[in-house]
Amino acid sequence: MRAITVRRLLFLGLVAFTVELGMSQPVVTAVVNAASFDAAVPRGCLISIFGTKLARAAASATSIPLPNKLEDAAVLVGDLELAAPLYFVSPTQINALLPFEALGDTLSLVVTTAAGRSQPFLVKPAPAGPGLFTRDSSGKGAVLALTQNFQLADAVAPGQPLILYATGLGPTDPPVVSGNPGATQEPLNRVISVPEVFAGDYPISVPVDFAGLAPGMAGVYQINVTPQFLASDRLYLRMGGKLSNMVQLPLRAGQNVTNASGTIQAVYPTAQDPIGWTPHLLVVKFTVRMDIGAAAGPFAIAVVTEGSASAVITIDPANGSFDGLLPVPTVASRHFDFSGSSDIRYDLLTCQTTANGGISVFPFPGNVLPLSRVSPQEVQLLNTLPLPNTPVAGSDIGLLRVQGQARRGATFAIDDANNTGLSVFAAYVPVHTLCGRDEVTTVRLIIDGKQVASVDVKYTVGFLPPPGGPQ
Amino acid sequence: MIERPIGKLLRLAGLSVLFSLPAVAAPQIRAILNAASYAQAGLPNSGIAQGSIFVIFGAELGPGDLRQAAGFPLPQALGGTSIRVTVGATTVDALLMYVSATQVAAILPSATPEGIGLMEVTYNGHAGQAGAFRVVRSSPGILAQNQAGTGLALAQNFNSTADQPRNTLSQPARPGQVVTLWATGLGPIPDSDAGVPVPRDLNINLQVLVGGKPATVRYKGRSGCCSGVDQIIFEVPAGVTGCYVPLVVQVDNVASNFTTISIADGGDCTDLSGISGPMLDRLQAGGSLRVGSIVLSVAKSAFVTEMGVGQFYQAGLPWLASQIPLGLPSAGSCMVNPVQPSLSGGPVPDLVGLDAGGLLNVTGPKGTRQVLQRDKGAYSETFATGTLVQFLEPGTYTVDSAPGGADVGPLHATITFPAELTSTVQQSTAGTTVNWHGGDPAGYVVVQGSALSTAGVRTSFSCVERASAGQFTVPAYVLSSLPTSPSDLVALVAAGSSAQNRFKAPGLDLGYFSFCSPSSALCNGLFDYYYYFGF
Repeated sequence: MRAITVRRLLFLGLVAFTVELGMSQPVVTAVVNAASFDAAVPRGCLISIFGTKLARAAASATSIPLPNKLEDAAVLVGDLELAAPLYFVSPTQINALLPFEALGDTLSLVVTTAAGRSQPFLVKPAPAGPGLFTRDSSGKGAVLALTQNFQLADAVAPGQPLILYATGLGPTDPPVVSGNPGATQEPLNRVISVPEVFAGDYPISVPVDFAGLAPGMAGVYQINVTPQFLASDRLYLRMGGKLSNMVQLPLRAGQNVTNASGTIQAVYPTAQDPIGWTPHLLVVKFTVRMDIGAAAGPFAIAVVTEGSASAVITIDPANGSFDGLLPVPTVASRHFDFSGSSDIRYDLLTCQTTANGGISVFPFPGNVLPLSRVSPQEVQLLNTLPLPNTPVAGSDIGLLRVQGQARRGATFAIDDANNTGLSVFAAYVPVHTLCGRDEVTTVRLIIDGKQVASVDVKYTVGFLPPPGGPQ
Repeated sequence: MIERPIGKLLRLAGLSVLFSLPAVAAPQIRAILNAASYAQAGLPNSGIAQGSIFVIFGAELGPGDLRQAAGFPLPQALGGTSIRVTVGATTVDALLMYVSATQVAAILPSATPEGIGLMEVTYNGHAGQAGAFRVVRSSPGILAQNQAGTGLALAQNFNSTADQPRNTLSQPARPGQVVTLWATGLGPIPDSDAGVPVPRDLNINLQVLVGGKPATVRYKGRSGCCSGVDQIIFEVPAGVTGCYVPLVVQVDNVASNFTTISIADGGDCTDLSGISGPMLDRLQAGGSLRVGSIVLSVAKSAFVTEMGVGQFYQAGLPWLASQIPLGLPSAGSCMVNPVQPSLSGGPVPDLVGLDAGGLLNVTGPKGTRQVLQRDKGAYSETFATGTLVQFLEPGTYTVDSAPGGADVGPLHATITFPAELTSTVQQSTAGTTVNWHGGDPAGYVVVQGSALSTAGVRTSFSCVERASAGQFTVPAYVLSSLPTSPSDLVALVAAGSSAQNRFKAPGLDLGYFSFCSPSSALCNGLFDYYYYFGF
């Protein structure tokens, strides 16, 4: 297994850095999963530490086991101040391994340099925190996936084995000492809790072919999977109830349709309603038209977002049928009662900048929103949406299941005249807190593995409603 | 036909209710703690001593049912579980006492080198990820009767070889009496830790502090009964009594967990609240007391409000604990992480009002006012509201209830408002000293503080001194039991003074007559002054 390929990719484009000299103490401002940039970091996870004066200059590890000091920088973890294995240091970023051996519900993390020690940064190790590495190391976009020949996978099709790279997958059997590489021969260091891999919105059948420490690498895990069906290019892991970053697979378009076209319209939010309203509804209307081939096999139409909202319509032309599942808000969430949802709703009017430059925001009591915090346009729009006919436990979104006919050799369309029940879906998208900043989510339409349309939907915080609610 | 995976419905909404199951059952260590003190990571006494008993908490550590070692010598493998400890180039096997899936107890061999060690648990051939801990020469942990390292110590009052009852609230020790204390972590022994222990005095610098006073130590070493278990035999020093006398053992500069012992100079022990040890035992078992509390208070905000309040109840521990600070250390001593007495189980006793008469007469320098009974056992009256104090001026006050009521006979109580208490705090390398002036000379001063460890564990302490002493220095062994870090500072909060006298009346077990001054923030009627500070 070619660890060197991965190692090179791992460090490509991590950050632009500058050599910075000075004798002031290091300051740590954030500690995140080095693959997904999520704040959930379990023990044994590769972490990125951001801050200032973190090292005298940039340096990378040149050998494994990883060193505990690079340039003048070291990272000390927990009350025993265990030295974290280091991949890379620079004045503004350190990539390190959160030691497996550090015990405690809360771990202090201190960066030391020749200029002194940082204040302790408290890290609560998460039980699970999977993160997938991407090609540009941004945690977004194209996944870092290799073929079984260890070449970059440029076009993925169902049935083709894939090799993915991740971190934060937890302890292994047999275990390794933090900073040491995964074994290169049996017994390989397999993970104790196997992550579920969702490829093209379908879970890869458990067990995956392999999930464990990448041979020859420290803190980097390798997952070998063979996706059976690819409705879309969305790829993510789920482990211990925690989702990884959602990344993209380079899909190979299928041969089941011709003349595929479509449009996407974001009905809500619109440019005319650019307020930091809660709860960030997304309503998408789309059209689709294509000719199904005379010998077409099963394929899918998917409208996906960067979050967890997606509509998938599976088509089985041999049987002449389609089966669509579209997310739509539940009755309770249409009354802004999210008490049954596991997603916390935050009151944007409580956004504050904290002393250390972070953002604090308070959730709505009981996860129930007063009408004064909801866009009137959104209230009106919710009344026009179809109700779900398939509940989902613990969610503010249910599913609308629509079935019908789709035959070989025929034209299949979703628009105002054909299969209209399939043309609209809506979800509350996780745009985090939106405190004082805009966010963009991209909605994409994929037909038989080919992207035919995409739209960027912007959530703009132009201003916040005045105290007492919007006028 | 397209296969439709079961998880699809859930997957589309991006929510998870399914968890991936472990592929293998490998041990996972969550914490490695002294088996007596349970001192958490980040505290100065969280190291594991050579030759001591430790516990591991975690998952998949051993079989689902508890397995105990059958006898001596203690095994290195039990129920499929074994523990390997590596310090530097040395690797040793721990000696197992019991194993289960979530908890394991074992002895760290005396020959384990000092330093940062890695502990690895293997169960049924699967080794888990190692956990780091610190191996030290000594780190005393006192066994507590609650098996959680807090509250009453596991100690025996020595009457004779055949009569050594456990020290409890109802069975206090006497000053000068010999007491046997059970512990672990005093230090290594030259013999095998696996075999039957040989009692032998250990050559260590050990101090037993009882209510802050050093005790004469007669023996310090392994017990003859059990591997890894230490005994400390000491004499209770004179001049210390109470139901919650702090008991701590110090080896070199490392203090144990803070436990308590009850001491009485004949008869029952008495809490600072005036409640006896047997009464406290009854309360903890769900019993109740008949208590009266009369409070004269002057509250100052935009207006001055002067009130008289009386409460006469038959009440259980929860209500009493909300009215009176229970479980505070004896005068002149400190307690780290003080534990309040709590119900040991069973239903919470009902709160029953007691009729003490139709009214209470309050007489002071400005004459007599009446406080009427508003509900059975509940008396209240607003004497005045305005910009100046009109009735409750400084002076001596009496309360009487003649001819009394159906449940409580006539009472007569007196209190003198004390001079306002003022204080200063001096912090230096020598320690922290609080000086004060004023207050009720018969009352007490409480000094409290807390610190937060880098591992997020908050440790607090309470010290009590007689108000007449005028000052108190927080001892070094108390301060060194707290985690220290620049991030430990907590806000300083100062409160005002109050005074309190006790009274008796037919039908009452206890009566309190208290005064709350204008600057009082903590007006609970028992103690003169609270001063909070941090490190």
